[in-house]
Amino acid sequence: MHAEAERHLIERARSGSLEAFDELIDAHRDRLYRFLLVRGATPADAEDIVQDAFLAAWRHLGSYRERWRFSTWLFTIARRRAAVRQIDHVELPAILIDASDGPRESAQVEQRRANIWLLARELLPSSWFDVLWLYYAEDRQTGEIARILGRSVAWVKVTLHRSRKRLAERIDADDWISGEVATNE
Amino acid sequence: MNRQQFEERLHADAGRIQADCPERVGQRVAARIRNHQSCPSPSPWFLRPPALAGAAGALVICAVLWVAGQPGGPDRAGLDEAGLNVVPVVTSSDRLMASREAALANERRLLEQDLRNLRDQVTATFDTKPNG
Repeated sequence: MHAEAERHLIERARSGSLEAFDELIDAHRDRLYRFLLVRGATPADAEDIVQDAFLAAWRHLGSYRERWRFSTWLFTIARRRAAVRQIDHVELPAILIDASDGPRESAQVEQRRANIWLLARELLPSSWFDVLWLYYAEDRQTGEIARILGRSVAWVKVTLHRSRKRLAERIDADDWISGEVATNE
Repeated sequence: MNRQQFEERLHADAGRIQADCPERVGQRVAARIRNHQSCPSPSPWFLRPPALAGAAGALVICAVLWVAGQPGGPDRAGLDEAGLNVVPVVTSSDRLMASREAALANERRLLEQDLRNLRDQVTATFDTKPNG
């Protein structure tokens, strides 16, 4: 959604327009829902948190400041709501992965190789995964990520670097092992 | 895999993670808003500009009153009457200096005593055995 159009919708919603707020919900709910699912929430939990986040956003719309994007504000609310529920499962639900592009019914290693985020969820601590996801999947700036996760920008930058490094090392190792096995065969 | 390939893969694989939030979530939000609250709450009154400006003004007035209410120092005539401008006040550093001077004078007396004793011993030695 264009920033100007979004600002207009926010102004209308502030003055009580539910139709405008509905449009904001439609614009942001899928990304919010996906963020919660990849963090390990069940679909039912994710639906509840998205609903709570939008209700809280409606109630506190007056305190929203345009220093941050509206979606950043929503992600921050949703992350806090998820923290209250202590959602922190280890594995990324395989149901999320679009099987049409990857191998179907393949071995676990091949599944990880099929989508790098499965490996990232398995390999990285939750907070590291959040940083990596928000940066690459949601195209957030480090300042926005710091805001969403309630951390410092320096922490976000360091964590981003460490996450990339750990993941890259593992991928290279996997590729090397896989190549070696193929050569031996 | 270089950095660019790695980042491209992160982007591409994220795009393959599909999740559509059910429409009923939006409908439930709208229904709850209609049932419970007609308008979003405005920003809290204490965060609005007039309230902030008022708080800042009140703070300035309090600071001015506090400064004005501080007791002034004694005037010169009062000091003269009390004799504080004439007689130097002995401070702790003066007392320290005096005690150090007394200690040095005592040291000097002891040293002179030692010298006198030494001189008497030398004189007595030569008096008893003048030729060794």
